[in-house]
Amino acid sequence: MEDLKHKLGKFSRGEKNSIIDLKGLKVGHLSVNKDHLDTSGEKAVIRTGLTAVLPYPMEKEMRQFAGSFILGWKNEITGYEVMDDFCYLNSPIVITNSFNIGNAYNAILSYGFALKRSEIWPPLVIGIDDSYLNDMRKSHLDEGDILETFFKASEDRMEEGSVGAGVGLRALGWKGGIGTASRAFSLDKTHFKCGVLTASNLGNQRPLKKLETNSRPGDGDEGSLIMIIGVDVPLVPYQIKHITKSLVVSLHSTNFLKNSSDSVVCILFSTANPMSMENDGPFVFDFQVVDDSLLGTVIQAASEAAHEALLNSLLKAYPVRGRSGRKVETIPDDEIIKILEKFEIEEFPGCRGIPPVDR
Amino acid sequence: MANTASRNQLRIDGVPVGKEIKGFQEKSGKTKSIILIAAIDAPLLPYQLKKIAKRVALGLAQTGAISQTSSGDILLAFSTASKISRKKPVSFHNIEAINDFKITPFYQATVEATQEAIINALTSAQTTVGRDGNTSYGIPLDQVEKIMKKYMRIGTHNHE
Repeated sequence: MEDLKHKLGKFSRGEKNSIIDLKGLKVGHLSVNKDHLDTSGEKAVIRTGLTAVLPYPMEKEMRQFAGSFILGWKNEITGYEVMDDFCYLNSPIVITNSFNIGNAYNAILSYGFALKRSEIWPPLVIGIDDSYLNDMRKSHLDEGDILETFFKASEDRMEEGSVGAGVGLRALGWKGGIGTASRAFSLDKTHFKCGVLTASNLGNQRPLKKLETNSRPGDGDEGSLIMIIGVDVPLVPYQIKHITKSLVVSLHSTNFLKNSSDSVVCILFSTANPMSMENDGPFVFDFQVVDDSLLGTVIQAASEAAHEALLNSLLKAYPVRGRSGRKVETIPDDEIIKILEKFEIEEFPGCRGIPPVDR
Repeated sequence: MANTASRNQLRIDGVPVGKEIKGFQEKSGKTKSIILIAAIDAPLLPYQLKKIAKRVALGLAQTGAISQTSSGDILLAFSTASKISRKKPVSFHNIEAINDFKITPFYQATVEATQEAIINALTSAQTTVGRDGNTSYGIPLDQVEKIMKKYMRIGTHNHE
């Protein structure tokens, strides 16, 4: 998006225009691009990986308020129900292909033990289907590699596109992947940040045909979109739930998702009110909570960042050749411009008519 | 506000009082409703009050109620501790909330008080004759006392 010289929405981008703009937050990718013969002599084309968001320095014995909203269940998610009921998160958020959920789950537990935490539980692992390009049955990620990814996660730099869990993804028939964006905004003169990481794996089916997709009918008709959102606004769980619902509705009303059967997973956490874990907490916590009247601004900022992160996931993806001779191309600039033009113009003034620049 | 359930379901402190009571049976056996309101002066956030409301339902269940078909069971929980002024709007509120890990005593208190409030609604109510001579009988306290003695809840053999 930066390269296209587009500014989506009214708020300015965060310093790195990335979810890592949030203080203490780290992101790590494990990307696997491997062609080899498996033990039975069959060719295996592995295009998969894992992306981990560590919402706070994980060695700290603490938790943060979190919540989620999921529209349509196409993704297997571990730890989700507990997080939603307890209203807090104390695990990394991991996105990986559906067949590696178990290994990622184990790796998170091992990570907790290695950090000498009393527990990182329940591990939050989101499964995503990358089987169009990837030989899922042969693509087991090594638990040790996953653990290493957590330790190597960075707060300074985050790659986007066909990396991590995004290696084998595709969206709208084009190459999908991981994208990120952030927004800086103020509420009553106090400055805040909001960062979004998306994994785009959208299907091809677009009943209204407003958006052309690059594929044949019947081929990957349905998919999903994962949104991980961090904010440093002091929010409590009912506000978090409200924002996640708003964002899913907002994304679903764009031509990316309108009338599609794609599922959307939105997980949001607030870094502002850290809480201690079980054994060392006070009886009563003092929280700061933003007044509901200011939530609209937070939603607007998060919505802008989420839209841009989704576009970034497409723009920054490089073409990938996968199993069975399949190849998925990067979305051309003019297609992105078309998408931008079709966005709700009132909602995001300034989207229209800006010519693309070379990437 | 108790207006609910079948006689033979009634339990008081685990005693099947409803099954033991003789006579005083009203004619209609329609399912009606119960309204339960829990007020708590501990600082709790909305998601915690939701959990308190679930414990109100557990207290209801201890009286033997099973929330049968078309029974309207309405449970509400509110906290009087965190007051937010409507007259002086502020952008950021400083509020307190009980640590989730230390909330269990509040659950216990909720279940106990709910159960007792329902029993109090029954034991305080008088026999009432209404339209068409329909009669709702107040629970016969003398029988209840005997039954509770029989099951050793009162008298010389106090349990616990």
